[in-house]
Amino acid sequence: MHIPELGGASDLREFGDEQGTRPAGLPRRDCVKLLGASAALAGMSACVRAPDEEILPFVRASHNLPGVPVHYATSMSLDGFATGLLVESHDGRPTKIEGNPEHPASLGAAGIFEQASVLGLYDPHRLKSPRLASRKPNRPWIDSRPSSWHKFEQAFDNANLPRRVGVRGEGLMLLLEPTASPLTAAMLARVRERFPACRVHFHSLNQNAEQSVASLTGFGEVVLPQYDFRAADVVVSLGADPLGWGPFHLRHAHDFSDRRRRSNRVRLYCAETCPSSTSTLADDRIAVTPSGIARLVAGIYDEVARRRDSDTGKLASSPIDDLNRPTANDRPTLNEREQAWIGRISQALRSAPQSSIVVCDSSQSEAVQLLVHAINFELGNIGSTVWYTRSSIIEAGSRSHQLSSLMEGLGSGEVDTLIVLNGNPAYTLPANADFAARARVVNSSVYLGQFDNETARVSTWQLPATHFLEEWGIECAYNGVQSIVQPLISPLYAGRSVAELLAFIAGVDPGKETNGTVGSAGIPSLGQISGYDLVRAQFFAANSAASRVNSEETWRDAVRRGVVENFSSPRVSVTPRQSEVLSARGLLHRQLAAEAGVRGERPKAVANEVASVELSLQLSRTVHDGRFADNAWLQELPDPITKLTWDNAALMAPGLAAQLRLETGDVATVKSEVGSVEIPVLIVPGHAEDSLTIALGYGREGAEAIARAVGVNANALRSSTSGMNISDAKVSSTGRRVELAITQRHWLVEGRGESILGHAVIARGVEGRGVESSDAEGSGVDQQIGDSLHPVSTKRKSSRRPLTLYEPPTDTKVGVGADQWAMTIDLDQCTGCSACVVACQSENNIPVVGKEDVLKGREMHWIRIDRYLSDDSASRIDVQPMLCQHCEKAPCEYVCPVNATVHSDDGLNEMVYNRCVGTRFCSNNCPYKVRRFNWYEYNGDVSEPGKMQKNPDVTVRARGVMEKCTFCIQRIRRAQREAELAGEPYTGPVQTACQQTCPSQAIVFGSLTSRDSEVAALSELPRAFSALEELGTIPRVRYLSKLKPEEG
Amino acid sequence: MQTGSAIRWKRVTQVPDFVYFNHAMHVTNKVTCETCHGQVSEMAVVRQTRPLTMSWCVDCHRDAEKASVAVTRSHSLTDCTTCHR
Repeated sequence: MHIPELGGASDLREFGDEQGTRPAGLPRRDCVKLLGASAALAGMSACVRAPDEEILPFVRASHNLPGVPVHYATSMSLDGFATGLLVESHDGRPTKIEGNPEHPASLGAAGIFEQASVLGLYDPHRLKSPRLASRKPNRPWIDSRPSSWHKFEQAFDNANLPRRVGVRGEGLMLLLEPTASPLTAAMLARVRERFPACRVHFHSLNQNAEQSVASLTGFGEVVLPQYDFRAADVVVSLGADPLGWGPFHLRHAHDFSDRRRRSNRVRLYCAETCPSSTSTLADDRIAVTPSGIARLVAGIYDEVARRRDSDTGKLASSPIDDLNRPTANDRPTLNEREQAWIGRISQALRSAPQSSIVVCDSSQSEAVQLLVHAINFELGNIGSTVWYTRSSIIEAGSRSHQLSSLMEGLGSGEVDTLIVLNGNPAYTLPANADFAARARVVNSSVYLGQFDNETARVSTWQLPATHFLEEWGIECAYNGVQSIVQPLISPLYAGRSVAELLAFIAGVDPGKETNGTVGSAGIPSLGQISGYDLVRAQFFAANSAASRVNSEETWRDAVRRGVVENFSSPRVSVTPRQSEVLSARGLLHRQLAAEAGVRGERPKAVANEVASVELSLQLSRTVHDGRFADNAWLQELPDPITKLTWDNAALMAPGLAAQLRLETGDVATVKSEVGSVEIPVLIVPGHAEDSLTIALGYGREGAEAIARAVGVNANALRSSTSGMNISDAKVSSTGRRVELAITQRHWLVEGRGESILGHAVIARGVEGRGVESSDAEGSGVDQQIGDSLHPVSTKRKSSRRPLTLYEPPTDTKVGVGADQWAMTIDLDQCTGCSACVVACQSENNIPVVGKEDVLKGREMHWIRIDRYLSDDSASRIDVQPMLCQHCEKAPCEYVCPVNATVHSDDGLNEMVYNRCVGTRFCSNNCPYKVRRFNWYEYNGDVSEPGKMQKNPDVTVRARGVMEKCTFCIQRIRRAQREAELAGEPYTGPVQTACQQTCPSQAIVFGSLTSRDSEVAALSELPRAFSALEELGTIPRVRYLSKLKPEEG
Repeated sequence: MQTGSAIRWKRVTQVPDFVYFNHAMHVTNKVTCETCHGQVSEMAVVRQTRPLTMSWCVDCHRDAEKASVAVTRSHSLTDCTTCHR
């Protein structure tokens, strides 16, 4: 089969390999290409069409010129909560996703999932039209044929649907993902109006049901804890990853780094099973198993409660049952290390009254969750750093969120029609739930989703769902702020949104409705239902209900800004019920004691080369619960800590691996009570001993070509009762080996720590962490930074410039004072979250290369995150974004025989693709190893719809040329051009893509010569240093070394 | 136009994909249409009359730099990234 015959015009020869030989087999890239090419031939003629309804740009443009990108506000919801986004659109094609500065969950930043979702829009493997499977009863899906929305409509119309499911809807079951969307809530209510007896269930892998139930028990209602990291001096993370994971993590990272920048009192303590983004900034971290986290929570609670009792005598008369009061005798069995850690934590918490935050892993048991609420309460944090809002998740905490009730419903045999709206329950439900078998029992199952995935394959009807960039909607952020989802493009594949399908089932006709009254005159056809009408009706109805201004102007304003004004959840004043807290404590102690007993009986660690360990299942940090598994950007994005791409692995500590005589890449068998998997081992220093971490989201078996067969499906180890932490799993070696595509195999700095990571210690009592800030609170700090030059001891010289014969490059053709571009990266803020990597990838048309080429070290990312660990226990984890350093004396420039890489007058190391002949001398001479070479026609593999994502302002590089970070030259030149067209010299700020999306604002970019230049000030700070400074390359990227509190 | 069908445009003046040319910048800096497109008003059939090679472009950029023709300028006109990104 020849690729060109299938429409792929790409050259399959590797650069330098003129024989045209390829490795045997069909590598992934080819597989992708074949599918891409077939999609291209299947009639995808790049029909970009703007939505018919009026959509409104974020910044009102006076005109819409071809070639000039426009930004629109919208939002993406993940795990039920929205993050506000600005989407860049080039001539009707959404090309890049950025954060919406006005949205509380974003504050201008966007995470990896949000940014990569633009590639998902153009995924060639999306469901393209409704399909209907023909099958015999109790047989698997055999054949699905193209059908149409019209046929679906006929099958489920006004007459047929009640006949199928009963007039009251007894036979109807809806399965949704947990959501806070008020529109979905309204539509569900309407479905229930029509079919009062229908069953509605919510399921996702990241449901946090334990959290909801804990809050229901402890407070009497389902509330969400809100954290103010701007006010917290001590943050204790117990298995959580507050700066790197969760619906508000961008906000948390922003606020935390804001506080940390101003104050050196801020301390972060992390206890966790596997190192996370958050723990890269930890001042003190401890590795414990999941049950160890529960022990620590119990221990901290006892410590805090006892102190409260001893501190304030009057509280002793509080309604606490004296018998239940914790005593020294009945404490959980903590080992010395944990005991010492709790001691340090308690001291820190004591020193920060009412200004600490304790957060814990959402997969921990209800008792643990409740104790964490109680700890925050006892510390007086509630009302200052922690407060509560009513949960906006629909029916949170109710039975419809319980897995058991879903299983019951599916198994009851009363369901005639099962309608699954998004999600992928056939994959995400635990192994013993056997969704596929249960779905087969129902008469007809309807799946509305974006992909032909596991669930689509066991469904009768497969309906294409819209991507969020194609639909209208209203979503809700974690703190309750509502935002409008506006489409940027008409559905590429005839998709419909969840709200539209729900409206069809409910028989809602938004066109005929005014102010939310039910239109009873006939049930509309699907074609008559438009998401736009539904959203508008909901928006105006909600406005009326809240008796707020209800005008076309408020609507336009909400759509344009992406945020609905004045619509957030109010604070609720709740305190944990002491009786419940104490019974939770008792329960937890009993559980821990029982577990300790079991562990006592269990043979210690390894016997007969089988280890008995705790297993922590986590959602993948790069492909989430598998929903992004077909997204090549995310598959190739190295995990922030393990640097693993295109795979999941059993993560374990070096100690356990040594006991089992396993090495990274050895395949191990992991067995739980319900199943077993064979999965490669990856040794992670800093992982808790006696435990394993495995990411879910891999081992997908749908028809998505990229997702298929990447990694191992660890859902096989879960049962419907075990949750995400499995207390007893067995590991043993299989004797086989596989290769894992890890982008950074070494993790030691090999004694060059100062040269690579700098060295700075912050003295006690010095305010600020050596970063200036321009606002009122910061100006006080500025003064103190001046004073703190001496207390901050840096071992490196602060002078930027080594002795040199040459003049600094300030006198340019443009004249003295012309821009000299530079960047600083604050290692004291960076969490290694990798948002910058994806931002760069989408801004600069960076291709993916596939697992085989990553194994050869050929990944193309212009910015990578290096991570270094201090020792086997990873007591210190350092991350360092590494990109082209734009050296003033660039080693790459001297060796290029064709002048393809040269220096510009404004201090940029330019890469001229059309001159490059591919000698790769430059890459060999680069001490930072940031130059990337196009070994294949990587961009030739891009499928037809995928091409629409490309940024037209950046060259799509061909095979045989070198490329590397350009400091987003297209953005610099655009800003300069716009200023010049306005008749003024350029002065304003330019943001690089990586800087723009950095949630903790670790990256600062600008000109060294402009007035009030932040980058110039930062690069002169005592803790600023250049990587490998001793080489004399004089990089324009300066790092600010991570600060460590002075010992003692 | 009277037929109601769209005009079937045919591109005559074309620069390679790796060249980023901005009309507004040139027009604002008083580079006339004829400089690059020739006397289109006198052509029976429009054709490309200027070489549009890199050296032809750079000659003009160099001259402009020397003569300070540009009204305002924030970067060198002969940097590679002026046209290639």
